[in-house]
Amino acid sequence: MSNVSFTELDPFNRAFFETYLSKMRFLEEDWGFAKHVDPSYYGSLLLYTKGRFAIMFSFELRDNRVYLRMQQVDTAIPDVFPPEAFPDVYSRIQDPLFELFLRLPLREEYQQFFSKAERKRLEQLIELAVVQRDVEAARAVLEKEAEFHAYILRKYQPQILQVVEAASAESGEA
Amino acid sequence: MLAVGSEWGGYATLVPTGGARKAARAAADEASEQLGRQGARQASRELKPVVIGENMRERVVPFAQQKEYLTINDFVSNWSMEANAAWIRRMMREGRRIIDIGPDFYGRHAGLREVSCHLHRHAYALERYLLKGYPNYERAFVRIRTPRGIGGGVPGLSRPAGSGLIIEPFVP
Repeated sequence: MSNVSFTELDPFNRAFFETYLSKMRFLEEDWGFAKHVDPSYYGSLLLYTKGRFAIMFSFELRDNRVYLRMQQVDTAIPDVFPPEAFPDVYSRIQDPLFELFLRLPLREEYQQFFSKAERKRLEQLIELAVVQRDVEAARAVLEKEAEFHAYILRKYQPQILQVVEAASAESGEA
Repeated sequence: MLAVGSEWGGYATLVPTGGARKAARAAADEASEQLGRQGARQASRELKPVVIGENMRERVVPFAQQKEYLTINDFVSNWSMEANAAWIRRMMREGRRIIDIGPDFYGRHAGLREVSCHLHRHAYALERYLLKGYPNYERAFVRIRTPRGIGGGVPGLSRPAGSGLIIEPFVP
């Protein structure tokens, strides 16, 4: 979808797009990625691409959560996980960005980024967002999680861009 | 004698007049149940199965499309936990096959928070709870224990990739 009017979206998907488009502006302005959006009621997608690489944010309406993934756009990611338990499936994947993403210590980073009190507060907000359908609570959760995602991307920027730019140079892309 | 209507004729019973209404209600209930069971069996053969699981966008909907099944997306346009529970109950009443593609094990690894197992705030957990003992429930995923914790997924299922991901650039 090329032209999206946020007023046509439900309040939860709108909160997702407004929050993430704002917090991830640096991907376009500083990193040179192109932005794509694909709204869908139960789960919208926000995608940033550069060459054949993508950074994806996938929104899950029912849990008010956002999944982050980095990969080549043409890589079919298997549903089974973790890779060491399904070596035959994962051995077929040749995707340096996805391999880097799998190595990121997301859980540990999350524990360090948010204090125990902040995590407890987030749990309360999540409950309000999901059970009470409280849009402001949903937005507050999305804001916090977008801040964390932005922190992760900035922290690992050198490694991410190294993969993207090395592959672009190999293929002769600008 | 109390006549209970032609379709329920087989359930009509000889009863004393004073208990007629109560007996009629009981007979009707029994008949409804019987018809309900027959209807459910019939429905399970005729109605499209529905798919449940975590991660609608990347897993549930693509799996359903691949198999030409349905999801909650085809029934509920204004989601809430209550609407979700009502939808599952309706699917069970209709006797539909319900295909469970399970947790998003990959998402749990990449996610920021532990997925809640509290039924009141996690739709998939609630669905699983409501489906306990349902005869037309089918599990399509594997679950294994690994050094990193619980893993698994749907063998053969991939997340959408390729040109489908590249949408026209966003124009604000």
